[in-house]
Amino acid sequence: MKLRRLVLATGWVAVSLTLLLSVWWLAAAWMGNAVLLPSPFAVAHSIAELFAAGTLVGDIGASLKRVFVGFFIAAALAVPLALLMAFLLPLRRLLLPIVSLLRPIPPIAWIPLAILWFGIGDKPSYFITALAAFFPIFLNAFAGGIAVEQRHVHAARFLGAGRWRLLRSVYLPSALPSIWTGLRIGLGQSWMAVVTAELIAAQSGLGYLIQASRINLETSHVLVGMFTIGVLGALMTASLSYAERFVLPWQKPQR
Amino acid sequence: MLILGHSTSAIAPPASLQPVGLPQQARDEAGLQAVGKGPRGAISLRKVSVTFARGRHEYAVRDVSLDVAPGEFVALVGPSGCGKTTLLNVIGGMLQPSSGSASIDGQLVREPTPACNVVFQQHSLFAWMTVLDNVAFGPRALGFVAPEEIARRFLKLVGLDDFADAWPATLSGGMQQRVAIARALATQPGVLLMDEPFGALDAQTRSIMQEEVLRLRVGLQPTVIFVTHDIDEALLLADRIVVMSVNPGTLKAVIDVNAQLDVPGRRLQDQAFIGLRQQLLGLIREESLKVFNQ
Ligand SMILES: Nc1ncnc2c1ncn2[C@@H]1O[C@H](COP(=O)(O)OP(=O)(O)OP(=O)(O)O)[C@@H](O)[C@H]1O
Ligand SMILES: [Mg+2]
Repeated sequence: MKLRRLVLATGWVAVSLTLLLSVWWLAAAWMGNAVLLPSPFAVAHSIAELFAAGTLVGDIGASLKRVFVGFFIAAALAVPLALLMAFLLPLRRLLLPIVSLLRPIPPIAWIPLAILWFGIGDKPSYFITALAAFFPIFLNAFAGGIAVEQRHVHAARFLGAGRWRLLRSVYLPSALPSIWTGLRIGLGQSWMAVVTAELIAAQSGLGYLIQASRINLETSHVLVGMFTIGVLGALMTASLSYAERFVLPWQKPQR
Repeated sequence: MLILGHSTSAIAPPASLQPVGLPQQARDEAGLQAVGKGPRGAISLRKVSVTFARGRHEYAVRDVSLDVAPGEFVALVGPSGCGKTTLLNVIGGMLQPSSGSASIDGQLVREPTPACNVVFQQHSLFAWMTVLDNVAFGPRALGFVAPEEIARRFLKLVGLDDFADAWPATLSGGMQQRVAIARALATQPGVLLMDEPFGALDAQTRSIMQEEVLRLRVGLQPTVIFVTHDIDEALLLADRIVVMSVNPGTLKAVIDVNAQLDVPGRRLQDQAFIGLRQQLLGLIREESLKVFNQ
């Protein structure tokens, strides 16, 4: 039963990807110009080539590192801040306008400042990826924090919980499904932002690979960069979905 | 206590409901280590009034004064909207009265404290904790020795020791309410406030739960204020029944059930039961009609 479902799911993924590759291949044949759109085979060849040269692995490593460092900085700041703001009304009143003002600014608009402050390399990318992940994490954690049910807060206080226990054992876990959603979105945003940052402010990484290849008219390398970003992003999403059952064991899986 | 020795034998609950461990033992080992001996749970309401600021000067509860003795079981009945929940919220410290005061054992109630606990219709179990952790939460928060053992003992008391590791969401409504009761009792509150705790349960589960409450009372003896729409439930369980009138919510009548009926648990066979039931229904009907005719 379980095996059958697995085979079926895998089958559909295969069909779906074959569809994409066929369309791509037809389009490339129709255009007939490898600079405009190289065929899937040319890109596969480039992947092997860049992989053998070691640069692809290096670029992947550079991008992943920037994403995870930025993401963890964002999570470490956003979750406690959001919960404290949900918990303490004065803090909420003080900081919420600032958040509302900063939130609409897209991470890419921060790049000039990031370069001025941090130069070129890892640091401005950390700044941008952290910024991109911060707001989805913060907003979801905050929404989860203020949605804590009064009956749970009352129950905890009848049972003798002090402030710290209330925050740790009621606010945090009660907001955790929401926080988890924020983390998932945040990681996705961060992954997209790293490419943006590397297009401009770095000398390595998948974004840099795309940018440098574009200048050299090596379109198949551009596509290698894009393809890798897509695959890794999808893998991250899938592994987070898988991890959910361990993070939120009390919740029935939604899918 | 008058009811001691009667209630369990009288109803003859099914085997599954027979006490697994002695409630008395639970009391000695679990509760008293934290809160000391002596009767606890005296409630005193002094001219409690509550208005919800909505422009109009309407009282949800008006000038309610009531004294409840330690260990007493008071049922609160009255038509919908007469302020029963509001009154419980004041006693529990979840709501500040507009005027007047509520105190428990001489202490003014200002906020929810472990002197009291609640079991409401909609359970408030922590979904993110196992059944055992829910029940152990209070003993842990209050620094009791061996909180998990206490929790297990109280789970056993409500017959759910096999479900210690389950998530609350996987239990039936009746089981969830039993866990909620175990959790509320595990810190040995002097006062237990119950607001239609079995309102969402089917008739059969409900009557089993009533027997369970009677049984638990014998050993643990908290003061109970029990809100219900079910007259039979009130008659079955309570030492006194307080009837509230509507608009404003005041005390309409206080009926000393013990003076007229057998001890809780043997009342269904009592001849006077029907008469008292009629009297109560009449009182509440008067109030309901008042609302209806407005
Ligand atoms: N938070 C609130 N804001 C405004 N009005 C309220 C609020 N809570 C209760 N009321 C009003 O106060 C009155 C008493 O409400 P309460 O919930 O105490 O009644 P109740 O006796 O518990 O009714 P029921 O049997 O339906 O549970 C009602 O008229 C209700 O509309
Ligand atoms: Mg109510």
